[in-house]
Amino acid sequence: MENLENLKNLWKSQKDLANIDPREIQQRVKTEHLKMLLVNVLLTLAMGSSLVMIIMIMIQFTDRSWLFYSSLGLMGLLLLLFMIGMWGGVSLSKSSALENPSLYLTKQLKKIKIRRYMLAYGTPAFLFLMYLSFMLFLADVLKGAHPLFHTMTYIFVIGFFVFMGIFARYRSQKSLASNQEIQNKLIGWLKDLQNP
Amino acid sequence: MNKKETLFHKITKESQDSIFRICLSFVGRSEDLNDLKQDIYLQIWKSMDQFRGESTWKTYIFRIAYNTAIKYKSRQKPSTPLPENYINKAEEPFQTQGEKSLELDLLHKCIQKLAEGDRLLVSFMLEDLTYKEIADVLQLEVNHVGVKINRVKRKLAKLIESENGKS
Repeated sequence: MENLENLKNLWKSQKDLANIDPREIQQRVKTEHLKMLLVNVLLTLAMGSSLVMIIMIMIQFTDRSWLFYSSLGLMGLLLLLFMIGMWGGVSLSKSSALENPSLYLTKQLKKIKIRRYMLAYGTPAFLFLMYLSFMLFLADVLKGAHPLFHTMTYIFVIGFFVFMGIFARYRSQKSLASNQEIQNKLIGWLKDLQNP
Repeated sequence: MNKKETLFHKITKESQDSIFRICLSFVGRSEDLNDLKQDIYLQIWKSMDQFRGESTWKTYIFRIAYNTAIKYKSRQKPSTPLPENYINKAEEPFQTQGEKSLELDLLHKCIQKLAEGDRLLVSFMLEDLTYKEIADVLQLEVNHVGVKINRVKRKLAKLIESENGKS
């Protein structure tokens, strides 16, 4: 490129006239940090108290069938898995912007892979296990109930899970497609960066 | 202003235009420009305490910009181009007029046709970073960077040639 110097001058003629206020940036960092902390603490508290509640119910009701205990156990397990996933995501998002770019790219790819895995398998598995847990719970608590009440409850619960399943599938299909595109671009970028 | 704010003010003042142009090369003239710019400043602020003086502030800033662009790409939604009149307003960041503006338009068009990594590499080259500095930013061997720069220069020249041929 013979006119590289001209290009450089042309390129550098573009100036940023915006005013950068350090206090504004500092405020944004604080707000972001506080928001993340608050969401995670509140979610952990909510999950934690639900878990405690499940344990208390299990201890309180000693004369129920195995269906009841299995359903509560399954719910507790799902809550625990959700909490582990949530805190795992927090530690992964702490990667520093000063890292080696190849390593940084690899970490971003790992995040996308986890996101894809969660969308493709995590959400359906979560919904199925939740459904199973509800069915086990209903099988126990509806013992001896009126047939009409039985039918209505099952129709409502199954309807809810069918709706959630369709909705989750619709959302995940859209996200999976855009995730795939981003993943391909980042893989290409990484290969390009590492190979001369 | 405290010590950190003063330092932030100093280093961003020195690199503000470069950061702006790196963002321009990566997202083009789209509404993502300000988002990416803000993200870079945010990352600079967060990473300032980790500066150990192993390299210069300049390479630190460029590496942060590079990595922030990667992160930005990994969660990018479809971008919206800026309104056409936005780039022609004298008070807006793009201080270009007439012929110069057309040349810049062409350059932007060509840069946007490159792959993401190459766009950033081109902006580093146009910012006059030495091979050693780029190698420091990307944590690669200097020879490796040399090969890359030559390749991307050829790609850009070809694109400019073909765009010039069209007009």
